[in-house]
Amino acid sequence: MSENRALQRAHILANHILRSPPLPSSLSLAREVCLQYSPPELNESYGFDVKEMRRLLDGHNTEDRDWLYGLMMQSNLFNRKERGGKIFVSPDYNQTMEQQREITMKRIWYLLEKGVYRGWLTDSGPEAELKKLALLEVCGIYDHSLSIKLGVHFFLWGNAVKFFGTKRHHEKWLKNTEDYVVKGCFAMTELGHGSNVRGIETVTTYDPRTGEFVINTPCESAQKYWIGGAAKHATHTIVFSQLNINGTNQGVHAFIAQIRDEDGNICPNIRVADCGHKIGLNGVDNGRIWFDNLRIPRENLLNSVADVSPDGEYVSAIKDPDQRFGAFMAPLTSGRVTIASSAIYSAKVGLAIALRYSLSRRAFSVKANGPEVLLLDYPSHQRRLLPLLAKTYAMSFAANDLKMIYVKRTPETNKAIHVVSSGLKAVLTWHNMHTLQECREAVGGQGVKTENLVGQLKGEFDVQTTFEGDNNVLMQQVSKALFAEYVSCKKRNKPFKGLGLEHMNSSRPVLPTQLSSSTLRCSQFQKNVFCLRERDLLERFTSEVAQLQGRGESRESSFLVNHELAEDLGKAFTEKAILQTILDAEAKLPAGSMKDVLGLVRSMYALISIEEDPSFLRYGYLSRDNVGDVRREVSKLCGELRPHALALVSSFGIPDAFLGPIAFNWVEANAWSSTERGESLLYQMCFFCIYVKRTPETNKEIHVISSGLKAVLTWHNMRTLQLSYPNFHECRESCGGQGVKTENRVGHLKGDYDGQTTFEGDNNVLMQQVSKALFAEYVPCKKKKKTFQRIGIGAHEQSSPCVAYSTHIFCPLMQPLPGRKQRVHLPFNLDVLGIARLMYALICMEEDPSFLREVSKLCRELRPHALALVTSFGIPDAFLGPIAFNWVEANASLVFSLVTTNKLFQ
Amino acid sequence: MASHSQVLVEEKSSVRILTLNRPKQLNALSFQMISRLLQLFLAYEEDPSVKLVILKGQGRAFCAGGDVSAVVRDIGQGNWRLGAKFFADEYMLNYVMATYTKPQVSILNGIVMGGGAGVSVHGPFRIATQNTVFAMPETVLGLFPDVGASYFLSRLPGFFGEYVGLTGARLDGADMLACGLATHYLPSTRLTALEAELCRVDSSDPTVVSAILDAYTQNPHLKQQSAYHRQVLDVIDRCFSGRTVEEIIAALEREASDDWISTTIRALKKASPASLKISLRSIREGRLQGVGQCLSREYRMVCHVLKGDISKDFVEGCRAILIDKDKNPKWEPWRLEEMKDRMVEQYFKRVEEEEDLKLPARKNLPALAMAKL
Repeated sequence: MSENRALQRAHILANHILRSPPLPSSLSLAREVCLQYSPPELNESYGFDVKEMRRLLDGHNTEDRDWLYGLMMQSNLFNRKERGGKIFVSPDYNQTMEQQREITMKRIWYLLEKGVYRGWLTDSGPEAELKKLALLEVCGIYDHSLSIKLGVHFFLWGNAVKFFGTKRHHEKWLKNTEDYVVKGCFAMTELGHGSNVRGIETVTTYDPRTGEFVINTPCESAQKYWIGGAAKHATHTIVFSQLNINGTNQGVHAFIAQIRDEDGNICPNIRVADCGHKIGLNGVDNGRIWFDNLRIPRENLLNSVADVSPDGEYVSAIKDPDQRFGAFMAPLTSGRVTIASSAIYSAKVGLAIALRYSLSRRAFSVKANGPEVLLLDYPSHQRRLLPLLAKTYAMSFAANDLKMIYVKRTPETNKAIHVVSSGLKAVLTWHNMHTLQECREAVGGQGVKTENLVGQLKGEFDVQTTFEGDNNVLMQQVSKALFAEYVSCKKRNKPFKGLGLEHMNSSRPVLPTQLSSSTLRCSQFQKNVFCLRERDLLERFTSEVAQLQGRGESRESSFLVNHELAEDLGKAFTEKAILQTILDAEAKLPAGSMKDVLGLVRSMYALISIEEDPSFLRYGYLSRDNVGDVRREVSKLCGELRPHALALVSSFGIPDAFLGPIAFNWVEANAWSSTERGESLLYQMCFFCIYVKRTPETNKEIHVISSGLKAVLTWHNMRTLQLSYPNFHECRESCGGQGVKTENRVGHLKGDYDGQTTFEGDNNVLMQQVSKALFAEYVPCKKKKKTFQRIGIGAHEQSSPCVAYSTHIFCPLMQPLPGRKQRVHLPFNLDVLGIARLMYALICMEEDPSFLREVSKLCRELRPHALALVTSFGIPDAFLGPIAFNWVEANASLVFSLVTTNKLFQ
Repeated sequence: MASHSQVLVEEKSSVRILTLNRPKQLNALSFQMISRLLQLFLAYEEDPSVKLVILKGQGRAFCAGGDVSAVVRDIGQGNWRLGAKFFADEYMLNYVMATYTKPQVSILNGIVMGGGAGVSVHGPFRIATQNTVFAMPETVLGLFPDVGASYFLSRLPGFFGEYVGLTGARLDGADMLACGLATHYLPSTRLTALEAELCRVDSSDPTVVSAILDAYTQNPHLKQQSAYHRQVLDVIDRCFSGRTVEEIIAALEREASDDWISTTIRALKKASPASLKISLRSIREGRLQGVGQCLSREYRMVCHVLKGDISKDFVEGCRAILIDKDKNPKWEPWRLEEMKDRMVEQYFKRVEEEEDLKLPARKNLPALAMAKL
């Protein structure tokens, strides 16, 4: 024994000194002497042709993409660095906001010089558009700021000129835009109005004496806000404004205005201020604009839909202002298309990093003295990442499909594009945020290190859920569109056509009562389940709305009351559309290994969607037993997808250099020899401890409770600061764009507190410990027929004990809720705390498909107390962000320099 | 040790010195030499008494490439698969060298071309001298820069790799050091002393070997006509970053004409259009791939080249340059625009009834080698 130990020590020393591989020995040492990195490529095999899969996923312009990857890797502007012998390119997010903006602009110039944007505005046709979309996607994989800054210039400014303008605008601007002779921005959003474009307050009048339009910002809430490019670089802008002709408001119109001269000086009658530091995307110079009687030539009205004659007469082929507005906004779908696909590429980056890491990082041994187990060999880790991988695949096909419909658009397909792009933009961006957070947690502490990207990307991509239409608003639009379609078909007694609703023409699908494994994996069954949900929710939604309308409610308020159904319906529609695209992709493949694996991926997508949506139980499409079968099948599929994990992420085709160092040799990347002086990319996190008082007797109880609470509370915090599920209204997203502004705190806090889900024990590991402890408590008690005394266990059985247990701790006043259905009676005259407690209990049940309950009534009851409840948190005003108070004044042009306030103090 | 042997082996304590020994053929790699090198390298890896391997060439060349005339003979006899076997072994050797667990020092005191680069550049130490002449001339032979060149050329600074790979431009020792193809440079007179010192090293630690080499190395001046001067490099980055071969040539033609520009354009117009297009694509893909993937892809490509199912330029190029020496190849397709994208695409697909290259499993890889996977 002692001899063994001496030998082992000698090995360790030798290893440290010589860095040579350990000598093969007959010793019974099961563990490696020193932890070594082993590339997943050496241990995993590829069950299908990765290159072909990549071609299928990218869908188009693979070679153009590779060319652009190469252009970035070969230039010093893209912040090349070496880690563990490999080259990585990713922006230096430790630069100041000013530096990030300047380097982003320099990267744009470099790519311009290389001819990357050739034809982006001057060529047309599907082929040219697809190439442009592919190249933009690659830019977004490198850095979201880069693709957004390009997107504003080409897709917002450029496309507005192209689609809202006519020949005179095209000739004057398009080529100059492509060559960056002019730098464009797009002033639509205002401080007071974002998604509700028709409510904007900027006003334009016409002066027939000079033949000029006069643009004005009448009040502080009318200032243009979040205008990308406005703070530093843009020379021109599209201005969205109400057009007032002879006292008649003709609605929102778009104009071209110059805001800077060639030397970058701000033009007269224009005021510009900075939006400041943000939680991400700091390479984009978002600014604010005020117009003070700015005069622009009459020709600068983008007149594809309506025009004003020289003598001041308003002319438009479309008389109805609603239709006019619709026709006007239709071309803007391109933004949602690009956001949806860039969200998927960002999720791919996150998953490639997290899965590669989980194939090389080990933790804990299952047997004493056994080797530590690879993270991805834990079923729980598979369950965290592989369903997200499958969703990313399915959504990748959906994004490609959307691009194809978009580039081949005709006036007839406009409506379908609007609806599908709204749903996909929302679902795909939510999926991205959810995936990045899960990947961040799955790589543990390494995820908060900026150079490893997964954590940083959350901030960079967060705003996707807001811009180009708030996700919740978009989802409601999907439901409204489906409602309109339904009503019009029923009214005219015509069959459904388009939007994938054709299945409504045939009879309601009947699902088998028993679900075997092969049934669950059958594509027809999966389609039927998704169709059934969509159909039923659509029927419910329309009948609920019709009922309310029958009682004299307006249509809008009937929608509002039924917002939960509307959300469920929007989700059902979008998820079915996604399922259809992966089914189509699969059907086109010849029989073979690739088709087989894609079949597994598709089944995983279908089943995880069922597993995660309580609607199936809530409305009774599936029974409790069915849902149990689905859950078991998901975990079986995890095991079957596990061997393909590396091949599946390699097929994403993201070059190594665009992933983070932990995706590769993270031992070498962190070796002493690779340290560089003066470099510290690790941002310090704000730590705070959970302090627990303990006595020897309570140790076990405290351990279990603190584990459960730490996990549940930190997850709750992350979800409150950002939530990833469409069903929740969360702080960051419900503040809209304001949430990404650093000074407003909500977005920023996410980064500061993210580490909580990892340090002091990974949340998932903690939750497992809770279950293990409960198991340990349960078994002896049952055995010895003793009553449960400790850690608050009631004599009840739960299918998912840890969540149920944590929930249970929170509401000591609630009786334990057994697994069987039990109606919860709402006592009358509840005090506020009572409502809050009940709301807590019920929302827990609502979100956990183990229970079923409606909570909207309580929402309404809590609404009057909302202010009082948050005020009771006792956070002093000074510690909240400016949007919590007078955000109009906080953004007013007069106070944007802090000098005034400072003077007050002096 | 027989002096007629094509690979000479010297054992000096823990160092093995291998000398390529076909001086009349400028040490062109024969099938035999490749098999022998592979066998030796694999054996040394297992042998704990070997710490370091030195590779050099007899006479005025290090190695002028693979012995392709033998391969062309095989093709002529309707036996392209024999040629494929030659390349498979050669690429295997390249892979073993790229992922070798012990340091390899290559002494490039003379001509280094094509396959010669393949047996040296993948190792961690490459020593150039005033006699070194480097080139990847495959595009004028109707071939493409193979032997893992799509891995190492694509990793040269900027778009220098595209330039070297497409034009077959010659580099001297100073250029090689500047661009990173060589790691050290010394006058050939000091080679004997260096070798003697390396033989005393008795360590596989790259930092120890590096320290010895660093003490000998010099920083030579770039020649007047070197392509590695800043202003030329700028032109290379501007032009050779183009998306297609056509764009690259068009960009070169837009530049103000000088000797370098006209030589470069001439070189491109002389090369096989098919070769140019597949070479560019190969380098572009190689930039994003590991060394194993690069070699596997190159193997697919070379099988198509040998089989001649898309273009027969390889046989024609060898005829015009190596056999008839009329230097007047009749390329087919003759013009760049006739070489369509889908024909290029074909080269990257697996040849029917031909297995993909099977790379040997590697163990205990050093970090540097892992990073190349």
